Amino acid sequence: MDDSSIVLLLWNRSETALKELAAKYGRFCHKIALNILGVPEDAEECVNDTYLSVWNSIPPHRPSVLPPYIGRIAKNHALNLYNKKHAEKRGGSNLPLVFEELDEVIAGSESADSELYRQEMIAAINDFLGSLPEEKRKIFVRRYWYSDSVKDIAARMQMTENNVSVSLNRMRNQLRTKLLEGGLIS
Amino acid sequence: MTGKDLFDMINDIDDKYIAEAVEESSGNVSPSPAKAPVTAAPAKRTKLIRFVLPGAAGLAAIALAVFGLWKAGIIGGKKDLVEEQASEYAVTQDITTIVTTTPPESTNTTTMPTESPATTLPVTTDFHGNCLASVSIPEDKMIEIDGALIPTELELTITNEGESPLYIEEVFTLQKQGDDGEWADAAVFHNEMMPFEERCVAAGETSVISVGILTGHYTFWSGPARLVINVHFYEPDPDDFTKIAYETDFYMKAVDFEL
Repeated sequence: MDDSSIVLLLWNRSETALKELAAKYGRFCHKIALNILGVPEDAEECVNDTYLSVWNSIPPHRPSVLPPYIGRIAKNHALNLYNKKHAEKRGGSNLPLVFEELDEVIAGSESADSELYRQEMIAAINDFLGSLPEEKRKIFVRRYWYSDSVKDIAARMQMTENNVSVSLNRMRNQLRTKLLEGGLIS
Repeated sequence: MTGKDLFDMINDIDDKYIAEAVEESSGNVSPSPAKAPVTAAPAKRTKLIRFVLPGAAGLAAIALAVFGLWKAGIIGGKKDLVEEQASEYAVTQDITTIVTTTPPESTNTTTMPTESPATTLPVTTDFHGNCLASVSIPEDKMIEIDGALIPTELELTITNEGESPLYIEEVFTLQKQGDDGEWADAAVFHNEMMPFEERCVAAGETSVISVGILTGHYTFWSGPARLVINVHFYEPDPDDFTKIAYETDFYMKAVDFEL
């Protein structure tokens, strides 16, 4: 079933929408949650919460593209659960390594909490992503948005893990340079 | 600010990039590894074939690739290059990286060059790249865990036999040999804090580079091991050999040793 039909079912409060949602996006949400939490049972809990949130938010929302919409909800649930359960101590989560890698990008920078700064940073990151070749951009987003492991990215992109790591390393350096040049980090 | 703060900001990137990254895996929205394409021919190899096909340009690419292989000692009786336990990593990788290496337009950059997919053959590229590499484990860098001595650092000795200086990327892959004889990644180490100058080796010189292999990031084993490194040869800035004017060659190199 296409996304617009699923949204229409949700909009009409048809419970069939949830079955269709699970069939099409169940694994997608589960993977996002599992990357963050590292525990299948916790990921499953997140997926169920995601369905409920989607059910409660459509309507009033009417997303034109479903994957980012559902993905964000699943990710937020997973991050909340991660914070709650300190999943990094339970092993299996990709997040500690992802955080560690991103630490390198903004190493030594002072914290700036304003919303304006945050928006400028997001705009700079979007600019940076826009400047990357599509293949590289997908690698970056898979690692730092979806929190995929390097191994999974390598399988997805048909590359060696070493190549993925090298690409990520270079992109982090490029992002750091861009943020430095933009005066967003010091 | 921490990596988590940046992660939170990346969380709010444009929807189109999030959607785009789902598009792989055989048209299925599920990014599950089970559904992901398994290792067929590497993607870059496809690019190579595309380069090779168009007539004269293709022949030139083949010639360059064969020349690269000969220079690297993989073919044509230059096996002495591997005498110090070193061996070229993968023929495909070497061909690919040679063909896709292009000097950046700027000749005055002091930063690490970025990858640039080649759209034309790199006719201006020189191939200088020969180096010997070996790995040893310094005794004072062993720690004892559960009665076993486990290395925390490797000493990578690089002899630059090329005509250009080289640098080693700060990403090092430790590989383990499986029962089927195939090498598989055991861990990838990022020595981000290693200054660029410490990773440079001038033409004709030998340097020892310390590679940290943090226990806890890999499961220790005893037996054959392989360190995969990325070697870049470059044309230096006339005033400072540790600054890159443009790259002339790049390949992976696998160095076998015993853990």
